[in-house]
Amino acid sequence: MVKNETDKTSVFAKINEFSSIATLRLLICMFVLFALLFLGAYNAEYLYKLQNQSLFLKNELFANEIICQTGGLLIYVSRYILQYCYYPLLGAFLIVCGYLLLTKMLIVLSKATTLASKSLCALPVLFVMISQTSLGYALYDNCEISFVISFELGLLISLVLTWIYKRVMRLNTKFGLILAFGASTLLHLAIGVYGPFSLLVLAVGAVRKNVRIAFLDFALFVMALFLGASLTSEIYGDFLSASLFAPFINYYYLRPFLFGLIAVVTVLCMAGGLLNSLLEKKLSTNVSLLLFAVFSFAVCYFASYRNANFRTELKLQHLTETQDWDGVLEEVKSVERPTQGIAAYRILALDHKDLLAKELFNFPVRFEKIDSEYKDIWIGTYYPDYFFYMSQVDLSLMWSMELWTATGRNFSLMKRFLQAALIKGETATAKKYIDLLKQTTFHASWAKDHEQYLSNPHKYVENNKTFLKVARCQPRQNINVTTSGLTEILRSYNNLDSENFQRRLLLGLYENNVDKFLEDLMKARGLYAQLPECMQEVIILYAMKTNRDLTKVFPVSRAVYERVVSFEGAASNFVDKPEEGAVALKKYQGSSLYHLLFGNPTVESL
Amino acid sequence: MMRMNKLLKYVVASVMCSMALSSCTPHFPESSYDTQTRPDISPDFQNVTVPVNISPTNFYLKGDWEATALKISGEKGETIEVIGDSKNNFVIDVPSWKKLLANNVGGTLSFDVYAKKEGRWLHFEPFNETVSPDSIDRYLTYRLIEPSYMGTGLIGIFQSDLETGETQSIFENKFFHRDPHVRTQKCVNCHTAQRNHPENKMFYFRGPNGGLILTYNGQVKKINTRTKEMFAGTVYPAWHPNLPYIAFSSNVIKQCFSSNDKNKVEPFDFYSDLVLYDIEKNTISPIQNTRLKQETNPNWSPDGKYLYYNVSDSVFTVCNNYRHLLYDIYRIPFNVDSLSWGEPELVYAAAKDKRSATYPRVSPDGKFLAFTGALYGTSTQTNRTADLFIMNLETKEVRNMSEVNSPTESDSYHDWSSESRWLVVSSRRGDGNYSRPYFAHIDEEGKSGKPLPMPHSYPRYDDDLLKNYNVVEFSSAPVVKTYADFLSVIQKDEIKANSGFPENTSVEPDGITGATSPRTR
Repeated sequence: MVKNETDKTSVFAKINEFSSIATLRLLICMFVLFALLFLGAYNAEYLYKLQNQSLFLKNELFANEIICQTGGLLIYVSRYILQYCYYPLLGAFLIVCGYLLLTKMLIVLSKATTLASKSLCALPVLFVMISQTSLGYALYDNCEISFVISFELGLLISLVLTWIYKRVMRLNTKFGLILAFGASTLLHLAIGVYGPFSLLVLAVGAVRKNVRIAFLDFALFVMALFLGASLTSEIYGDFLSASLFAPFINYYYLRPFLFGLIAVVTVLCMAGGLLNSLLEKKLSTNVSLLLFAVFSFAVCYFASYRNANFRTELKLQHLTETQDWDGVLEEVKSVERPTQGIAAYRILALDHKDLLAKELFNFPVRFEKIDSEYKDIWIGTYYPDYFFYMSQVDLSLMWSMELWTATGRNFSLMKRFLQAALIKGETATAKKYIDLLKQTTFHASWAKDHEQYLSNPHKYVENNKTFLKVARCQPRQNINVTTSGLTEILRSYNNLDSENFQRRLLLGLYENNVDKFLEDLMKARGLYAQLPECMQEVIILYAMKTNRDLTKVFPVSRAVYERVVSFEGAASNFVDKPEEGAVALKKYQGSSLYHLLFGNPTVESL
Repeated sequence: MMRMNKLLKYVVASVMCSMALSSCTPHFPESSYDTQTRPDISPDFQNVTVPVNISPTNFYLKGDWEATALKISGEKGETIEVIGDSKNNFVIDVPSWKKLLANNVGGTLSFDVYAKKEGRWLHFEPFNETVSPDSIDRYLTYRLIEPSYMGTGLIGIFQSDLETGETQSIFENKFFHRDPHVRTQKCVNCHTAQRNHPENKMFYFRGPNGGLILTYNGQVKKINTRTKEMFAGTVYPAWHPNLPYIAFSSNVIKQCFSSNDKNKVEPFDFYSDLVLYDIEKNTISPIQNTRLKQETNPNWSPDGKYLYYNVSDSVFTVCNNYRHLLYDIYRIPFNVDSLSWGEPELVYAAAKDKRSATYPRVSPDGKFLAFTGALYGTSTQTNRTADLFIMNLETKEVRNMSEVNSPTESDSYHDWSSESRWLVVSSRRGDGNYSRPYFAHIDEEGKSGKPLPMPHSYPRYDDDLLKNYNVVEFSSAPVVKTYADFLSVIQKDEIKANSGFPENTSVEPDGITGATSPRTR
């Protein structure tokens, strides 16, 4: 009888254990799938942009430049891995592999045995994922983009180090401590703060066992941190304060969040044992699973960076890179309050589809300013592309070099240098960039494709409809500029071809500068047989409001005239109520009049 | 016995391993086919003159090859054999190279390049390097900076040891560049040393908390050299060869970008004057303080009795007129005893021929004046019309150093070695965008030949480098102060220079240039 009961208990225990393992596997699968979807699908454009905004060259000079800084080896490896985000799913896969290893190390170090406590060990990983995908507009700033990888990799190395120290210490505590201290200090050189951080994890892990040892470990952590940082700052000639926490980016957005994350990791390491006993009694497997899923979703939803315009801009940049102008126009259709960058990419697409005059004003008139501490962010997002595809190749080069120096070297700008050099026929310069891009992992074939044009750069232009227009519309006159917007620059030319003159007229109008537009229009008498409707609307309104009737010089259609009269009548009811007027007169959206009256004055210097 | 067996096994295994390894090591070709063509190498060291104390002229062979090899034979003896690495780089052993040079002074070195393709060794037409007995100054200092931009990028001043090919950083703005809170103008520029006391050096750290970082008599100081009478800070420096004086130009610098031109950027001055800084008295006094002229780019004669500089009568107010900015070369006598200046003398009139002559540099032996000639402008590093010119100071004969200049790209900014036998010039001849230093050997007649690119221990260094060499200058002594020394001075308060301007000097708005300038009433 006793024997039967024992057997029964043992069977139940086995069933429980089996169920627990199955649930854990399910949990892991769910987590992997979720992370892959979140990174590789939802954040695909973000990952692509991250790699495009970074640079990795397979040469000795580049390796020396990167490695010779605090945590340089970690940055170098991270930059290498970041390249794989060229294929976002592949990049996501590598990142998720790191998550699994990180979770495993957290489980091992916290000695989590129950399903509930094991699943909790994945929470810090969730925070890692969120911080990796939450750079937002900061990615255009001068930050070391590979931080998104080095953060994960550094934590992983740190935890592995802690585990190794523990194994060594089992053999000999004194020897182990000296070894741990020495290794952590020296590793500051290669992996930065993550070297000494392993001692901090060691210290918090020891708190429950022996407070005295925990204090000793903590003291060693502090010593290793300062000694390591002093060593690296001396070797690499940097401020001690900069070396201390390198390669953490000294960045105002993420700092509190990341330090919070470290605290979570630390707490988990310390409380692993406690969690086992607490959670085992309080929570069932299903409840813990549910809680984990809900919490993960909530964290991802509330903590992640979900700025729709930011995402749209990333997509537009990618589409522009492939010159998919239809894709650009499709993407901007759903935008309600565009940023200046979104408007700029739309203008490029319209221009290259020859739809600028017809469709320019058929777009939301209320613009949104980018919410960023980085005051020059608007330039970073679109100026190199905007000037390039609007045929101001030299000025695109100027802005590209400006961003290259101010916000960091990257693949994207290097490719722009190459394109510009080929269009300008400067083959020696183009060759330099081809040779460098050939040293990259995923942009090498692109560079090799361009090698054929070195002997005949004209072919480069002839083989591509977009480049043909870019080259054709390059202004023949040379003017000297500094930081003016494109419209102002177009106005500085004495002689412009018809395509550029139309750009000048339309962009002037788009920036609500009616006086300049009319002044320019008088110089464009032979440009049109009949003015585009958006221009007709303005001169009709002008004739109605002033004594000067330009409709005698530029004939207008009856239909447009009636529309303007109708709009003018309706708009007179909302003279002091633009917000209400914008809603009430929505049917006129798409006309230049609606844009002039209700458009956001923040559209400037496009 | 067991031990003996083990030992035997060890020995056999070791021999087999070493045999296996040696079979993998490429060998020098025993036979080859002559291609009758020149090897396509970079940097291009073919038929150049090298100083006797230069580091190995390491290069790589362009193209895809299964293996490469190099044999260097000295006319007067000694041979070096080098096996190319997997990227066809030839890195020559430094001691062997030194020995080879020492044994072939005044002679030539013949370079035989071999390359293996489809299992067959090819032999290219040999090329020569002539070993000059004239040694070159051991150190070259320069700034590494991107080609053209407005803000502040990652800038650093570096020092290369021309005898070993090693490079070290003197100071960089990397910390300031990295931190978004202080990413304001933090430029590092104009590193220069005193000719006859090369341990005395200076550079600028610009922007907030910046100043002239002066190393003098072993002490590092940060000086604010701008006094209330000056419309701008000091810019281009010239150490007196022996005395504790630095002549500076004080410039209001602008730059314009071209919308469609071969020259992408045009730096120029709206206004400039000359001042003298007395290091020991910590005093700034005027040298040339004129209303309708611009004076810039000072440089002392080797005896320190004359200050050479550029003068332009061109006055303009808007960017588009910079092509009218033409400079002549003048000099002004300096009386060391009374610390007084004589009357300026015209040395070379370029403007009358619608040209501009800048960066006058007198050779230390006093025989030649090297300068940059261009169609216009003062900062000609980005100007594709810029070429190196030389004037025989005895005959006043001037000629374009066409043997040194590139046909289409900018050749600008140069410096003489201490023995007057070498000129370093920065040139954009490689790719049109990034300037690199080239060394030209100058003979007694002031003639030269194909210039030598700067050798590096890593042959692809300049190909892979994405920066310009700027303000290249020789130095016979290394920088001994460390990065930390400079950083600690930068963090301290500046020392303000005293004014040595006459009492009646004040800053007045300049109605012509639009700049604010000092005027003597």
